[in-house]
Amino acid sequence: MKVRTIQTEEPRLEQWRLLSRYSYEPNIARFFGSRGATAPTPSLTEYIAGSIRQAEAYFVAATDAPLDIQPLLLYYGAANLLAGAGAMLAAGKLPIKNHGMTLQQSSSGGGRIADLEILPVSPTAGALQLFTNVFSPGTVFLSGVPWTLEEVLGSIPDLKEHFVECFPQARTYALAVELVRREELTFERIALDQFAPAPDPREPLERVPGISRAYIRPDFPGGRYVILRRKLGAAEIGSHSLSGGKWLHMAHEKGGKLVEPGQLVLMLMGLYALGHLSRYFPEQWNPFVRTDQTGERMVVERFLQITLRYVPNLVLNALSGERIQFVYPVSGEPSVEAPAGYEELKKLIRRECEAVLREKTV
Amino acid sequence: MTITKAAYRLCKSVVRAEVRRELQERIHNLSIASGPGGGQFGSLASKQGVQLLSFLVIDQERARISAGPLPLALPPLSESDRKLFGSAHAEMTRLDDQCVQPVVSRWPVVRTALFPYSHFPPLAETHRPDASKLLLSEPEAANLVEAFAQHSDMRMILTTPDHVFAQGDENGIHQALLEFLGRIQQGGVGHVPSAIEQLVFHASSSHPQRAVMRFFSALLSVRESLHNLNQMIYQAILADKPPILDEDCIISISDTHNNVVGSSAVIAFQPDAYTHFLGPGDLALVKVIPNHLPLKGLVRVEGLRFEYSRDLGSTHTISTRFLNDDLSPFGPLSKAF
Repeated sequence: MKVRTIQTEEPRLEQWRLLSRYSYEPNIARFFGSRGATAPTPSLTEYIAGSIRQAEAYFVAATDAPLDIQPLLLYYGAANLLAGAGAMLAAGKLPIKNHGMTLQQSSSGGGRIADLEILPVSPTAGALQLFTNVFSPGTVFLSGVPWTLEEVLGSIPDLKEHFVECFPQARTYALAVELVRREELTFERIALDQFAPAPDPREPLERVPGISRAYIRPDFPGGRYVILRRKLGAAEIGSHSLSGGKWLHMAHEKGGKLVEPGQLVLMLMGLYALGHLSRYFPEQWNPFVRTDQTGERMVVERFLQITLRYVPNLVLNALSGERIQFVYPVSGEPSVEAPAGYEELKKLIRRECEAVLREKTV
Repeated sequence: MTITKAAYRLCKSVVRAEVRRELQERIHNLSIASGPGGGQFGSLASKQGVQLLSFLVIDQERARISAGPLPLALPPLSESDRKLFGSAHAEMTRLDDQCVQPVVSRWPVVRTALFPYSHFPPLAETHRPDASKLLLSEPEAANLVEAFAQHSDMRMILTTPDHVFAQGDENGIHQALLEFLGRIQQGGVGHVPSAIEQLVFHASSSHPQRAVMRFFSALLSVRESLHNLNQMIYQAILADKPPILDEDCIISISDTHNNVVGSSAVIAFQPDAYTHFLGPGDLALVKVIPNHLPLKGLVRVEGLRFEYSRDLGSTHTISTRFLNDDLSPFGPLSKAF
């Protein structure tokens, strides 16, 4: 996906400024035209514009809202935004009749918030599967097969550091990838500690969908990293975090099948669980908000901050077909690439000199 | 049938030959640390780049090598090993002779120049094929000789008028050809030596030097085809298939050239058990990479650079020349003059 860098000191405002273009009829019509779709009906236009306006209002309200209601506001905001953007991308209103998921207490008896289970339901009329069809095509949720909130939170790249601190024994599903440039060769590598608590990185790597199509056999040179080299001509896999870092995602095994929802869908699931909990189970949510001693609240708060900033950004990406990265002009564009070192430069110069000398002697 | 196809069929028969296992075991034994001489015999032999002759040369030069600055104690080859290597080597050189027989009959003075081992001093001991331990299948070898008669540069040599190449002694031609080869190799793959460039692109089409260079280029092409044929046979002794470079190991293909000398590319790959020991002189099969450059075919490795680090992994980068259907890396050269 092409990367577009936008310099701004206020990425939250800037992303909504860009999204709010689609609360105006001419812009919506132009979007449909650019995709070769027939012009939207007035009703569809109002549906899209209204969804996006409401989404922004919910997000703005959530920005300063207390934790007591913030998840619910964010879930409403995200659901409205996906409904509006989904109608634009699908060139029609999605036939949503319900959330497409329900929340249930842990079937294993765990008492943590992370033990709550999200149960996908209603695959043809539920928002979860219908949004997924648009924003994470190819992913199919098996009805009635539960997802723990821990699984969902453990799949969000930007949350990984906080998640691992709070749940050191839990499996994570996102792997941070470093991009390394060496002379004319560029490759990727993953630090072995990213695979913790799995004892052997090979098994988690095999669970990354499309890894054998995108990369040649992983190289384990015995150091702190596993080396991944892209296959020539292969499409890139993985996603990017808020800071622009690349991540690979392990699939979740559900009902004997591997499922890998995109970040946007995972965030929607997490927001649904937390929003539903705060709205319908205040007796459980209130003590958590007021007296959590485990550190789990810190993970939840961080998750909400990430969704507040990144859900609109991911929707913008889907609408534009570009990866839009907001950067601060004072700090410059964050780079995850290792710069060429002194030794590297010396080698390059030596090789160029040798080539010139050889040319002259032959 | 092309020479490459005939050579593949011959190599398949080598893989099936009874004596192949014996040769494989002996080479392996001479190359591993627990073998005689700590594997140094095999290591030195592999650096010579002349297939089975390497082992016979090292054996012959053993005393001189051991007296050198490096403390190498090389045990002699056993009588049976010497005969084993000698017999198979003799089979390969006999096949070489048969392949170029039409040319040598017409131009006897080019015999040494065409012989791919001519740059090595002759062995003191004469070896002959042992009829009880034949490596090459006679029908497949005959097929190959038949295919070789269609070598485009063989035909060019055979149709060269007598007056173009009226002078020269055997040694002079041999030395001139080696110098010509050296010039091409010195520039590296992808490079066209300035002397060739001047003649091909700047001299008049009637320049008398053109016909001579056309003849020498054809000789060089045939010689290199024989060399590559011998290498294919040697690699068939060592492994069932040639090392394969494909989308599962290639990291990059750069410096691709297609010029009057031939086609070439620099290929970086992540080595595995089959490609780890790929070095200069070896042949490998490049398979086409979907959605990328349409490069494929047999290549000869001309140079190797490798990098290893615990944090960056292993990368081998080889400079290669692509072989045409005649097993020649210099297919276009003679036609360019």
